[in-house]
Amino acid sequence: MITVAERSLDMVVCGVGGQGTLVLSSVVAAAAVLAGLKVVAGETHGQAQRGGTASSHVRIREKEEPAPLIPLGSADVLLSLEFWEAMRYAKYLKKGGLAIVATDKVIPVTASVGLTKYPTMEEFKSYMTAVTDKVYLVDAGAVARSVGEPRATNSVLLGSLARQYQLPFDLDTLKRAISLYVPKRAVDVNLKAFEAGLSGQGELKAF
Amino acid sequence: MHVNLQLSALDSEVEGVAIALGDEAVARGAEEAGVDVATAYPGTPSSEVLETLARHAKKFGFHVEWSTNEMVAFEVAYAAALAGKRAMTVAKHLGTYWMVDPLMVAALTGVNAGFVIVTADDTHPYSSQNTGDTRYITRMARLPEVEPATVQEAKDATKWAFEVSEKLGLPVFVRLTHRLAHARAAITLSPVSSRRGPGSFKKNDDRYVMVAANVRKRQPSFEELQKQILSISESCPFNNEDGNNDAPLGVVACGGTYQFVREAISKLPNPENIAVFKLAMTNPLPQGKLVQFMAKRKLVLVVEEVEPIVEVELRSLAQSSGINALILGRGTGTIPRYGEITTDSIVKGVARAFEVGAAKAILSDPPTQVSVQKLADVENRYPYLCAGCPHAASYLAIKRIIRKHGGVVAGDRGCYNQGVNPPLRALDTCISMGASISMAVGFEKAGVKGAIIAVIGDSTFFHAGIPALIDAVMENAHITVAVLDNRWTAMTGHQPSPSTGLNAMGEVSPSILVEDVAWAVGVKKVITVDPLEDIKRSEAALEEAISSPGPSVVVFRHECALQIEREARRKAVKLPLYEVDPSKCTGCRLCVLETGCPALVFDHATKKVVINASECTGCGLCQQDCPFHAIHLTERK
Repeated sequence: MITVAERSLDMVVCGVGGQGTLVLSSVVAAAAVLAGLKVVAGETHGQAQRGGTASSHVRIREKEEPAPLIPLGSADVLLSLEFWEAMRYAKYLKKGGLAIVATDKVIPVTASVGLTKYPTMEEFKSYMTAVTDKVYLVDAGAVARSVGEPRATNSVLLGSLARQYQLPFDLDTLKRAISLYVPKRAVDVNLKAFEAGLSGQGELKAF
Repeated sequence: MHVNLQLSALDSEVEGVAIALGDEAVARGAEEAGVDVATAYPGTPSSEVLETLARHAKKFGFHVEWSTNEMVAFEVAYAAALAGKRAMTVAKHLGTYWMVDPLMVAALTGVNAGFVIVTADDTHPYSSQNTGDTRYITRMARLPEVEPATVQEAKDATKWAFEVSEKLGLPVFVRLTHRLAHARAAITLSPVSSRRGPGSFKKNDDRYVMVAANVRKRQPSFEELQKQILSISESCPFNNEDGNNDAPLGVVACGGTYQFVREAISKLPNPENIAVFKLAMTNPLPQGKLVQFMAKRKLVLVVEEVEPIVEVELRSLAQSSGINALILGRGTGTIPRYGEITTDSIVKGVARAFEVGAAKAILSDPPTQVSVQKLADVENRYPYLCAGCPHAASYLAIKRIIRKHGGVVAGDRGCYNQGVNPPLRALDTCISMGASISMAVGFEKAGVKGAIIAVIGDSTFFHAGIPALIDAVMENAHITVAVLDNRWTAMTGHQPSPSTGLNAMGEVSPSILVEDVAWAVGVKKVITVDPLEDIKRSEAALEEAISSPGPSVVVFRHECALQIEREARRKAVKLPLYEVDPSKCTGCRLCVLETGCPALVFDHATKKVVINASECTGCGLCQQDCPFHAIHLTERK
């Protein structure tokens, strides 16, 4: 568990369009608001639903709302819903920062036809080592399927985040935020997914 | 502290706290100001403004429309404002360019109720054919413009813009950048205002019939108004000064860059040596206040999104006011000339000012930059056409025709742009709305050989394609227009298009057929196919079209795969599913190369293609395309 003195957080959430990147960042933002903190989430979308890369910069402070983008090399946390995307956004993570990465892979068409290369685990590790040794891999898709909702991958990752990092709000607040954002019929299964992540299911330290 | 946060707060007319995107905050600002008519054509990053208003139109009782194009949107809203109703029109920067013709005249006639134009400039760009700075347009039109700095301010400035517009009797601009339009933060809501009664139009030919003689009559009063605009700029409540008022170094932070400037300054070694002017009113500039601000500085760094407009104007203002401060910014290359403004780019900008010696005498130490681990670039992840996308099938037919006959595929603006990405590489141009058809005419008149095919979506066809099609008929251009009709303005989030049969408020409207338009303007060969039904039929249709004299139109009609998927989920219907028979699959990957379908994944270990069931929508294109008949229907579990 990483603890911080000041109630603040700079976190990059990333993934591929359709994975729930923006819902995840919205949940964290809502939890911050519920806890009376200042928050801004800078989202990058547009063509994301068509398999492109999607990201959101979530920034939480005690007093004043910061700018909606995290400077390079300064994020406390990188939360990636997709394996390869973690590498793309690693440049935002500060030296020794925490990376929580789903092992779920969205293989682009270009990799199938040999035009681009999808990274191997070894390539991933050697790339990430340059930034941090605190990399946790989470088999989030499998955990989500095991609780009965394949689309709850993001709630599993949120659980892993709460397990590895002292968030600037308590767990009940985070759960309330999940209940706010998830459609009513899916609240229970998402909370289950969250608990699974929180208990460390499917989690493995990369090195 | 406990905050009562309701996600539905934005949908409620009472006060409260909500988490909102910049775009949503603008919509709320308009509702609080009592907007009566709101119009737009969708475009990233502006679409969410009208989407929010459309959701509320029936409940709060105002009119919202997705207009045919931005010029139409502008004129509808403008007329409502002439008739005494508060009105708003919204566009991305490229859409704002479409408004310019009527805007320039509307500036002269003025309006009789608050009329706010919201422009969301794509600054990187993330989803546009260029980067945009619409502030040149407000200068041409000599109209007021406010640039909010935060999500809360986006709401408040919109509301304020309505007041100012009504007071001046002029349209007022609110400029967002991509970063603010898509920033999400908590905002405090005030109650939604009630609507006004029916509007009325009072005849006044001198003012509303802008023939040349009347324009000349109107000019003196417009000039008079400019003085009032200046005084409003001086008192704009969103302009602000902070930092050390006696500091020798000044930063003028325009609109949303203010948040980045604050953060950058906190990283500098001597922040007390810097005064900040938070500039919200970027046209016209609050000259008096800025003269006072610059007079105390040796150096002023201007931070603004996209073009060095304020920088250049400040240099001119300083010169005419006898101020010697050195003024730096994007124009001098102190801040990079292109790319999004970030905390990093501002810190580097101050460091550059230091290098040229300008800031050296002022800041005793060079700014410390965060040392960032230099990482190798990660290969691009291209956006693609979704699994089951009918455009993939249309492109397959078009590519085969081009392979056979040679020629050009002139593209247009929409989802089908993704057809440029590998492995499809199916289009040759993408310039502006409607340009596919007019450029095809141009290529034909230039004598380009082979099949000349324009590819345009249904929404774009109605937006800007029709005049170009008429041109093709008039000039008897031997071109083929492939209209990829998926029934929605899909790229920007499935807003209704004229072909959908719905309007923005969810009311049933006539579904306008592309074929009817084509016949009506005199196209003699018009063919309709379902691109997913039979690829050979699509090819035959294109063959027939290109061998016909003069212009021809082939309508490829099939609903957007994402909408089909949503509908199936809503009705709990299982979509068909295909699978690959590994004993027949030779691993040639023709299916992936030809369709570009993301549900097809090549397993490098087994050298076979597998179909990802959660992606596959059962369109069957790959099955039609496989020369080894290795793909067949299966049961979806």
